[in-house]
Amino acid sequence: MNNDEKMGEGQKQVLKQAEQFNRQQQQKAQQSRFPEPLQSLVDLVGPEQPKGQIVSAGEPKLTPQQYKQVMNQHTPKPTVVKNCLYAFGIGGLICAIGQIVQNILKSFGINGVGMASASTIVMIFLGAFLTGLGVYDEIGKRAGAGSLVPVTGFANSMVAPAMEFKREGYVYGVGAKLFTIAGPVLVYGITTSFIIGIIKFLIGWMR
Amino acid sequence: MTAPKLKGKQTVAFATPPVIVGFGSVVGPMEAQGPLGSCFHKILKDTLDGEQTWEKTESKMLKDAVKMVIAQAQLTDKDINYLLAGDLLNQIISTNYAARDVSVPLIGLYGACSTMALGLALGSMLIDGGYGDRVVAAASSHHDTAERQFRFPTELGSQRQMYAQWTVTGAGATLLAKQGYGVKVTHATMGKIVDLGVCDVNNMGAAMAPAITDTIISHFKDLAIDESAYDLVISGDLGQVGLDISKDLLRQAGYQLDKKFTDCGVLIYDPNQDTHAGGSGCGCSAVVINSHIMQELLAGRLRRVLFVGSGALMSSTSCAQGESIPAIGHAVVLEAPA
Amino acid sequence: MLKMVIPAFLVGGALCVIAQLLIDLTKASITPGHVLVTYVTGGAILTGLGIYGPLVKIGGAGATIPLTGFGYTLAKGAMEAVEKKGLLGAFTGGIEASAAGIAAAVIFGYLMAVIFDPKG
Repeated sequence: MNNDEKMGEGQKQVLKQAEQFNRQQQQKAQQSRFPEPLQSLVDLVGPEQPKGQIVSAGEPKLTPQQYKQVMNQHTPKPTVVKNCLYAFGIGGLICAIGQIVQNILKSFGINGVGMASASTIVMIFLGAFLTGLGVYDEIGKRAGAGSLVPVTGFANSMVAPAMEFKREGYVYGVGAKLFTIAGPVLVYGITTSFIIGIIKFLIGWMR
Repeated sequence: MTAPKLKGKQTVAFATPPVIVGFGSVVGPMEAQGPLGSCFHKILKDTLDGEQTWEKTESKMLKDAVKMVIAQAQLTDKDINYLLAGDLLNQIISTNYAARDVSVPLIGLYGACSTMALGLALGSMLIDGGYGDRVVAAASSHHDTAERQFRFPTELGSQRQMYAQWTVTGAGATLLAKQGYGVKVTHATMGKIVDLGVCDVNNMGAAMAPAITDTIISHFKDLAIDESAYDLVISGDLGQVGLDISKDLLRQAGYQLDKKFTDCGVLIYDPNQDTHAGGSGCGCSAVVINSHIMQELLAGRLRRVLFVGSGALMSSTSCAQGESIPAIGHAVVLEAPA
Repeated sequence: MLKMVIPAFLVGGALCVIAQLLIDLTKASITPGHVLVTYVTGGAILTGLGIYGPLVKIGGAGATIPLTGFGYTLAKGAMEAVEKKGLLGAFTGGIEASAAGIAAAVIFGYLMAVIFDPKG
């Protein structure tokens, strides 16, 4: 009983102090030289009750999973059918041009491995040249993979960064950036071919 | 004792709202062809504009915009107390190099695409706090410098997603002063980082929408108001996708902003310009706010505008490491002169 | 002159469609670089399995011009060299067979990058 009273007393004291402090703050706020600049704005709409919240106040009520659903609703999907038609048409066209080059080379009597290499060289030149002219990225905008996958696209992936980073010098700009995408392609291509060679060797050795 | 000018958790109300006594915008040729083309103050003849590199061009645009607003108010560099500026490039080089030729104390900012709103908010705080009489806030971006830093080289034949945005080539500057006639900055709400796990650097709108929504709701709650207080709420560079998401989230929260809510990135380009979801970059909001929106406010067609700058604060390193995109939104209230 | 052009168009187009689906239907972190690496590796593996060789016969340039064809040249070169030179062939065969393409890409790439400036 005594204890309770004491607690009560103590609490009253704390409350009294808090009240006093609050009143002082209120007075100070009233005395402050800072009037409410947009009191009118608040008057205009009335001090409304805060509305519901979804992502506010440091406790996001929307989880990343839930947000993903909202996001997917509004994010336009790629026009897959149209993209594929363009990729097929332009990709096919580039390969057909490659075939015509091969046929011409054949008519000059270049055959076999030499023909394949020579046609690749011609196609790489075309890809690099069109990139330099600033045409290849315009083709790529529509064609997508159709202009990326042929070897002309490989040439584009070398020239584009090298040309752009020329302003950073000829060694670390042009020299290094030629291999931004070509580097990984060579690394994985050569490594894979090495592994295949080793497997072939092991199979032959076991026999 | 709580700060007297702080309202709620994130919002400040300026005692003597700073006045915008000058604003200017410099844009590239593509932006000039957009629907707002006639609103801008200076147009580059091409993306290089006689400079050696795109980085130099961006720096020059920023410098021109700053010089333009100072001249507009018939002042000189000496009269300006601070320059608050930023851009998208590493170590904000466009700003640092532009400031070489402007003898004003520089406070460099990085808020990604929210830099313009951040600069306006901080500049207003400096003036209202009594730390300066005149402050210039500015921001810039350049399509080609940003593209090669954050995405691919410009000549690479890659396909852009339908939801991708186009970095605006442009710089905008605002001159804030203690006194004068012009649009007033009455409130500012500083945003928190919100990251709901979007990793796709091409879908910046979706990455930033939750942060913008969060800032708008916080602003309304801090001031105990709702959408009816504004003629227009305009975000920095959410693009069409982000704008739709943000509208949806706000509707879920009970705010019907539909027609009042638009985005600088949506306004700046025509759908025929093949930019997909719209514009982005520091320059996007910097040029739209410092031309069209200010002009509408001065003409009295808009009375009160909430401008929410949106920033996606990732780097190419964090993206390569698979980190999601932390986004932020800073808001300022722009009020037409009485 | 027009011999094999239709098959080249069809096979080359089909290979490009597969790559387009790879880009459109997978998550956004799959970039052009990833597709090219996948193609060169895939082409080499298919060659090792003996599948790509027949495709080259059918499609001609339609199979050799896409980057899978680069993988084919590398793998075929390595396998043939192993037969002739043994283990050393695994190291030399791939690059030897594709030397023309690699050199052309470096030379023309460098030349174009030096001559032209990006348009933006």
